[in-house]
Amino acid sequence: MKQRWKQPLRDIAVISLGLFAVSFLPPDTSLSDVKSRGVIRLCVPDRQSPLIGADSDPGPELRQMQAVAAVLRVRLQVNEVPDMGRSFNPRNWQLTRGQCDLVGGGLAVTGATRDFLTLLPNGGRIELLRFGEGDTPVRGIEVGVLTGAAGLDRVRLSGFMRAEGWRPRLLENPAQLAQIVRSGGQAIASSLTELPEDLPRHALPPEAGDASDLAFGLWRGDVTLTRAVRNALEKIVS
Amino acid sequence: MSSVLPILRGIYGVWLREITRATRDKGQLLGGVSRPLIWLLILGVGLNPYFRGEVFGEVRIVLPFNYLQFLFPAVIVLNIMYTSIQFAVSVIWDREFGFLREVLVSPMPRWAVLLGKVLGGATAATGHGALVLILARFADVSLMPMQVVQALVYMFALSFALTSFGVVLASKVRSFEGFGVFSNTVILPLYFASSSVFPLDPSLTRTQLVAIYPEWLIWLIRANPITYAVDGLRGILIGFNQFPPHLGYGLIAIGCVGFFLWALKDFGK
Repeated sequence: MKQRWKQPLRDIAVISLGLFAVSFLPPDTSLSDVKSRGVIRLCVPDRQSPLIGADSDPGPELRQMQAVAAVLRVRLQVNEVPDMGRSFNPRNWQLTRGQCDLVGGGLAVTGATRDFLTLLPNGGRIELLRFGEGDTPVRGIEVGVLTGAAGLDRVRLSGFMRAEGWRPRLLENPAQLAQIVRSGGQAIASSLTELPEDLPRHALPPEAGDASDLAFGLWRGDVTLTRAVRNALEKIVS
Repeated sequence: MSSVLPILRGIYGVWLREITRATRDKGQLLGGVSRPLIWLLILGVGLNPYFRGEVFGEVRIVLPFNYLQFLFPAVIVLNIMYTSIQFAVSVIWDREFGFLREVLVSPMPRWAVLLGKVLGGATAATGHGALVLILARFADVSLMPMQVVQALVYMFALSFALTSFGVVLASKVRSFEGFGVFSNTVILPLYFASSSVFPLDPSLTRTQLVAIYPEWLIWLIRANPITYAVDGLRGILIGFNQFPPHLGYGLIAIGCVGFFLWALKDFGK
């Protein structure tokens, strides 16, 4: 290499190394807050969901989060927020930064959730199913809806039901859904809902909602915590 | 063929001279580093909390990215704008010290001299833009090798258009001091009025936008070609566009040809 290029190349190398070093500065305090608290809080709609389960017999999402907490060397605290499963509108869930660092328990990757949270897919899938006998229900019929899984596009589902002329009736639990279907009624729930295998089930058309990946949601702007959780999840998979 | 090779050698010579000058100009190199540090580290980190979510479902501006990610492509464009347009100082320098006259009386055609200079300026500006890519980790922007290649090609085309624009400006200004002031009055308004530091949420209708920003500002942003240049790079780097991406590509292609021809008309007068 010619002598005259040595100095400029050295300058560029020094500058590049300097910038590379700077890129390791923490852009926010989200991770240090979690570490100083010693707790990472996961909000879920239902503690009994098969994705979460008990601490001693954890479901897939709880198992992943327990491993993430272990990598971050903090304790995992699971907060049940029942409002998450009760309303079509995410605003009514009243999830705040004060309650949770992460949202899980069946959070679907949709436009609505992606607009408000940074999503880290966790390998799960979710879709909406219709439970009940026969073909498409007639207009004017009452259809039970069990919105147990957080983050499905409820606005789209309600629009679809309105277009079909079905009257939605919010259901409290899977047992109520099973009872309605057994007595000849119709109901809609997500594929994650624990229901008896013998209940007849049908796919809903795409207008009702797409099948989606499941994810953990972190607050938009929590760059360091998102990065740490993402790295931990990758480490667990590998 | 025998007449093409000397021209190519001439273009290479002028390009090499510009690159040599750019890499030896420590002030320019420092500028290329300090701008991203100020804009991304200080402004980006400082404003990031104001754009983050506090209550799920309640964010005024809905964007699927955090503020640092949103700002990152804009800082690259800013670095390119400064380096490209200020590179035209070299044209004034060459004119003042007689180098330009010597080159223009050589057998090399005028377009080839200009092409060598513009390619040199565009290469330096792309290099300054590429320096910002090193900060991708800080902004939490994950880049795949193909994205980096696409971004570099896009940045080079943008640099070419802006360097040609800088030569046009330089032909209108006769002094170094005048150009310094003039370039700042061009670069900063173009940058700030390009949706570079605040978003025009594409999910909002025009009526909703007018409820957030005054109509004149929205008009200014939409009329500003840098808006579409920043938007095109956002599409490549973070997969987010506020406008159809072909607008950015098209405007840059038109800028490359249009500004080069305009610069050629004024160059060496």
